[in-house]
Amino acid sequence: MRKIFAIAGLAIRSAIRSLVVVVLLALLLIAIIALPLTIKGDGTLTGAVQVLLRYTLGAVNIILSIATLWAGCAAIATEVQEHQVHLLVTKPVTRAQLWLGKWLGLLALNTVLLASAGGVTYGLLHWHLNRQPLSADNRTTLREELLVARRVVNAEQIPVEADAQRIFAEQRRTGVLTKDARPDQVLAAIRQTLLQQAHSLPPNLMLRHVFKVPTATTRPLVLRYKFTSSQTDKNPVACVWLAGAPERPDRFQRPELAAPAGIHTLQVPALLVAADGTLTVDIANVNPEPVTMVFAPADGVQLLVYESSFAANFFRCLLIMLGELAFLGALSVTLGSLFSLPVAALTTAYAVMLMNIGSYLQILTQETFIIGSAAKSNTFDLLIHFLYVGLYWLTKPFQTASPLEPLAVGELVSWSWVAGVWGWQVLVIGGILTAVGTWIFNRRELGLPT
Amino acid sequence: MKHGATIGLVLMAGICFWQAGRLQRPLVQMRRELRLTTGEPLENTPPLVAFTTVAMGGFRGVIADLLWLRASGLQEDGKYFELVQLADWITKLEPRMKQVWAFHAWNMAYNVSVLFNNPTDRWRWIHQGITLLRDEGLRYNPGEPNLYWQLGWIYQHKISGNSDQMNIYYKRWWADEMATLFDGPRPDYQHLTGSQIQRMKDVYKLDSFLMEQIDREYGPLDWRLPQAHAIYWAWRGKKFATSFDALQLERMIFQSMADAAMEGELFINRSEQVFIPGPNLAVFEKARKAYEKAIAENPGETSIQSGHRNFLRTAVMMLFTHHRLAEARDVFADLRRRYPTPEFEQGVEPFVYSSLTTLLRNISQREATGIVLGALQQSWFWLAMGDEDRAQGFQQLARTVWREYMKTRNAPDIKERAGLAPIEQLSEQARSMVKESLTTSEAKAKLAQ
Repeated sequence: MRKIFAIAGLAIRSAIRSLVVVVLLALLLIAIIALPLTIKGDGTLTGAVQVLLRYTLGAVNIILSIATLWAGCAAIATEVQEHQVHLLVTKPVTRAQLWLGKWLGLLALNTVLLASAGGVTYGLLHWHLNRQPLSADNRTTLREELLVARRVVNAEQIPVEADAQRIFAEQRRTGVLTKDARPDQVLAAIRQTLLQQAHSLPPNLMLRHVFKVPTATTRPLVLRYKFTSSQTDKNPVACVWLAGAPERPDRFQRPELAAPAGIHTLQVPALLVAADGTLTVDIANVNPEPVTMVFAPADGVQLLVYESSFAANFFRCLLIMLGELAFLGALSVTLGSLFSLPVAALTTAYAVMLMNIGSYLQILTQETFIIGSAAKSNTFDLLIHFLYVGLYWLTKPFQTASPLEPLAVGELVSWSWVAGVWGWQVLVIGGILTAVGTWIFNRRELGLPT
Repeated sequence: MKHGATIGLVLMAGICFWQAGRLQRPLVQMRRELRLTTGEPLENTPPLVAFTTVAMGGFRGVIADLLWLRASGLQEDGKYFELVQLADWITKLEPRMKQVWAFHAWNMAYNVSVLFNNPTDRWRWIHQGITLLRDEGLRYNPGEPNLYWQLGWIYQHKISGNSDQMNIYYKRWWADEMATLFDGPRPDYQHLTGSQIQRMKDVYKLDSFLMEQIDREYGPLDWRLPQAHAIYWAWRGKKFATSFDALQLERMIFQSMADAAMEGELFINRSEQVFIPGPNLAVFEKARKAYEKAIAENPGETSIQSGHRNFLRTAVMMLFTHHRLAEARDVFADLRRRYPTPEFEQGVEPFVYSSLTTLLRNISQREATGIVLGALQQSWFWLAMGDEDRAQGFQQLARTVWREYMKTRNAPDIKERAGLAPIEQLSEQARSMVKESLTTSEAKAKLAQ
């Protein structure tokens, strides 16, 4: 282990000596200090806090990623290029130890830098909040909606499968389906229609959602909802929200006048949760003009439940960022042990770019034509389609959502997410990369004349 | 000799730079004269804008696209906190592209604002849209008439119109802001203080000299109301406009003038929480002239003529109910001469009464306010004059119009958006207006009872 740590120390020193890394670290410092002063929020305190968190930590993440990418690729590639590696391989160290030492050095450097950047950002956030007089309302909003970690709970799905199967069988029996209709597509469309119908609320009717609250809490629960209306204009719709078991005399009731397509929240007392952990929520459409409210089946109505403090959430967010940097370090050290520095850096950058455009790749996999038309797609279209599908599936295991989005809006960054990133990306994928990297590095001829 | 070639190249580069610097000024001048660009070259811009527009070259389009995708995604998810920053970056990446400024300002003022239930939140986003165009868009594109139109449109349609349920809040807040700035309905041009002029210029980009000119040509306008600002920005854009842009701005001016005539005077009583925009008959003649000028300049535009016809129709009603009978007859004669149809063949009085009964079903909030207020003023006026029967008749007319209008607008959301102020409140306003115009203490005393 001592040998690995010694190599790690060398890796840290050579990273610090690298001009590119030093420039990036200077940028990191500027980003942390200057960004909060220059970025425009939406004019509200909550907006300013969200932007500060999102942009400062986002900039830190980008800069550290680029620095890791460069330092990781350079760690072995430069030493091979400049023959310094000859001194190392003649010593009693295995190439696996060399690889691990380089990776650990990067990880240690990233840990220190990320912890410092995170600490400064956290301090700056509180400094910003403390230096301005905040109203009681603002303090409450910050405490209950933003500087907090709330678990997002979706309503239990309304079962539609039996009806979908029945309608499909009926359609097949009556022969209304075309000859080339694909059964899976038809069934999916029927399911979607039924779900949408089940989440539509016509005038003067009521719609029920049931939530399973995962943890007992005394803090108020927050209902978050979004809907579209059958009106073409965006005039607010009058509705009444009722929460708690229907037979309870103290059932929560709150009339709302809500604008379609906006995100709205309302607080519900936690004591309304039943003994079995369920919370029943009814919405009554009482708009004087006949309007249908349409909620998205997946996330039209959500419940936000207090889970932990903001500091803990912030810490978990940093852990995820560190896990991603550790993975990036493993990838760049591996590619640096295979190729020369420019090739390794470009390949890593390309791989990172692919991993970050997963959602666009997914959209492209659904396109059946790129150059031809829907009616007649050509061979080129087919090739491109398979290329996108291949790229999507190849990069899928590496795609993760950014923890900054939930952190900035007061949603939970869970321990299971942290465990997922460290378990899957760092241990499994990183382990595979270590094995592949050291195997190839072992087989690589280092003494070739140049 | 070893470094001779290098020194030669450096010298040559230096000469090229010097010559390029010498040519820069005449080139800019030629560009200005030939109107190759309507705006001034980007000078004294913040370093970030200068950097992005020059150093990034063609790549800035790609970055703008990515930021735009992010902005759309966030808006869809209801995460609006980044939108101002993203709009700022996108517009700075393409500072000369008018559509980019127009889209983002419109998006914030129209699309984002209506997603909120609270009027304060809505107003904040409308304000963001205004400041983006006024403070930034026009700074980088001072010669782009469409941006003046876009800015004027926010005043004319979003704030002055009643399509947004919360328009009355916007009007009130804007009026408060302007009243604080001018210390009254309009600036006292002769006695403006240095700090007032500076604040008008720095914060609101209002030029007091231009405002005075506009007031001379179209006013006196009540600058607490949004129509005056729509006229101001349209007026400023007109000198850069040709063809369709010019027509659009001209249209904004006469439409806003018509709006000013219908509800361009503000009655505020803070202690009573009263805020009622009412007719400003002092600008009626100028509004009429603005229409006539637009018709003369655009003879083929039938839409202007139909707008003019509607304006004259409403004006007849308004003048008649405000007991300006001679003017009402004059306008009616003009209406009959220009647009001869059977409905105008009758006299002015039968026209007014038959129109009233059919109009009441479809009239707008501002027309209804004007008619009710006018009839109430008549009522108080005749009461002060001692003609109680006539006063009673006008009182009756006002109440009939109020009742008929509100009959179909009783639902809470419609009432808030398009309803009228309570009749007692309007009546009190009319009484105070009439009382102010009276000169004898005897007549005033009658109204005090």
